Amino acid sequence: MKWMSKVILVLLAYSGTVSAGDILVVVSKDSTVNTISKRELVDLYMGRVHSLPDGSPVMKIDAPVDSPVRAAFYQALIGMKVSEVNAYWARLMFTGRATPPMSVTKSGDIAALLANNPNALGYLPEDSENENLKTIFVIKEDGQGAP
Amino acid sequence: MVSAAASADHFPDNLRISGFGSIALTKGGDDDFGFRSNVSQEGEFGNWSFRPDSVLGVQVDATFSDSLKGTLQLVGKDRPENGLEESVEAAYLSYNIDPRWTLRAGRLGLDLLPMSEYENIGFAYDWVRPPVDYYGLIPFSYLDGVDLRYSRPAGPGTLSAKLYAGKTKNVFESFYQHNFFELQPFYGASLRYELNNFALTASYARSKIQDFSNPNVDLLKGYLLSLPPITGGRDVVETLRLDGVQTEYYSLAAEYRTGPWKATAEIAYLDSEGELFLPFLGGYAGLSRRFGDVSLFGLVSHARTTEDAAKLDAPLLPQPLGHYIQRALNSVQSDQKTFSLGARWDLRSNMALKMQWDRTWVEEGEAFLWGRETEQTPSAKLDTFTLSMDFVF
Repeated sequence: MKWMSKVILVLLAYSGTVSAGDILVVVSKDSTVNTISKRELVDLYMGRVHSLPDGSPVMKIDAPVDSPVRAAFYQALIGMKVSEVNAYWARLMFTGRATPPMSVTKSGDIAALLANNPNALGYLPEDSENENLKTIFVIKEDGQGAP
Repeated sequence: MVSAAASADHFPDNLRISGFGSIALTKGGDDDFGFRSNVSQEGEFGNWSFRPDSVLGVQVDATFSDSLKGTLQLVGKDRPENGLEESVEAAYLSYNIDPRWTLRAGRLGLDLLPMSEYENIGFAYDWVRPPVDYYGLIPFSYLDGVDLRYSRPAGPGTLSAKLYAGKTKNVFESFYQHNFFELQPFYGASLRYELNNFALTASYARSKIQDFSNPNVDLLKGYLLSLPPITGGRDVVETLRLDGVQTEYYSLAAEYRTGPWKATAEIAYLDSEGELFLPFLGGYAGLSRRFGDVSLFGLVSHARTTEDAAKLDAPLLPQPLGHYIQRALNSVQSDQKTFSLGARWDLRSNMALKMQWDRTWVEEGEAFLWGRETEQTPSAKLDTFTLSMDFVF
């Protein structure tokens, strides 16, 4: 019976709500953007607006598709699972309404992409602060945001 | 989209390849009623088939500059004519005039009914297909023309509007014959207001039927015109006329999401003065509840042609010709309702397995949506089962 309780423990460990600590919304330190609101972030990542609040072009970056930080980001932002977000985006991209964020294959690529592109916008787990990046918004672990 | 990342590795930054598909096995109809997901199909008479609901699409997006983009979308599915021209469902250039205005020209998706623009993309919604009761009556999905889009934040949400103009053409099947038609000009507008958990859409469109052709109707018209005027042949030709007939489309839709619940409702009305293309009114409501990666859902839909078939008044016409024409006029009537239950299981973040059971009640003699040998069909209760694997890449 011991193996059974082990299985249950393992299942419980993986079935809990996604938790990845705080999430930092970041841009290159050369970016002119210093802050963003949750609303602006939702509008950008859900394809409702196509440029930054000041009208400048933006390159949105998504964490790898199965990463915990991506799941936590969308859960906190709009309460959707990644598959729901993908279903939502399938409508937009195949009808030409918007271009989805660029999804990187490795978490490590995000910081490099952001650092080298002043138009890029992305998000990272809190432990990945980087001197070439500027944090413009923090999504708290409890889902609340703070600039 | 998931492999948008992979694409970024393998293709230049300004080129993006993505796609969607549904591998769907459907069993519907019986010996007398052939299930079809829209009137361009012939129908499947009680056997399992991949034809009614399977789709494969590939899209290439090219970015030429910050404001100019090009898109090409090829879609393979069951169609009466399946050449390259029909398979191109989108081919357009898109120009962002400013952050709020976008102009597109070429072959564009048509959002005539709320789900029409993305009905090929099964992964984008829970049901296995849009409700056949009225979506099945609209066998065209693209517009060759231009559209102008506008979107801006409004209050707590986003308001977007679209104006479009152009033409479209397609084929519908009746009694194993192709009926070709064009809709030209075709123009309309749609309006959408969207919040995080709520969206409201309204649309209006107007078009004229042109170049309708069916080999039997064409022969018949020729013969009727050759008859002496006293028989009323010319009036009958007028009754059968579709060219120049104006059609108008109205639709309203609402979607609401709260926690694991999602609710959708739509209503649509088509107005037409053609006796071979009757006006119809349809709508549906759906509710789905998510349990982790599985969503369970139920739908009810109903649609009917709102005018009775024209009654032929030509007693001097040689029988059985009059009888035959009356039957042709009767054949375009439709009245059916459907109750559906189903499940969607998100196997991966870009792949879902769906299953659905539909029970449809069809009124006597009003089975335009079904493949059949005769228009004199009894009232019927029909079950459709579908198992579908839907994905995007």
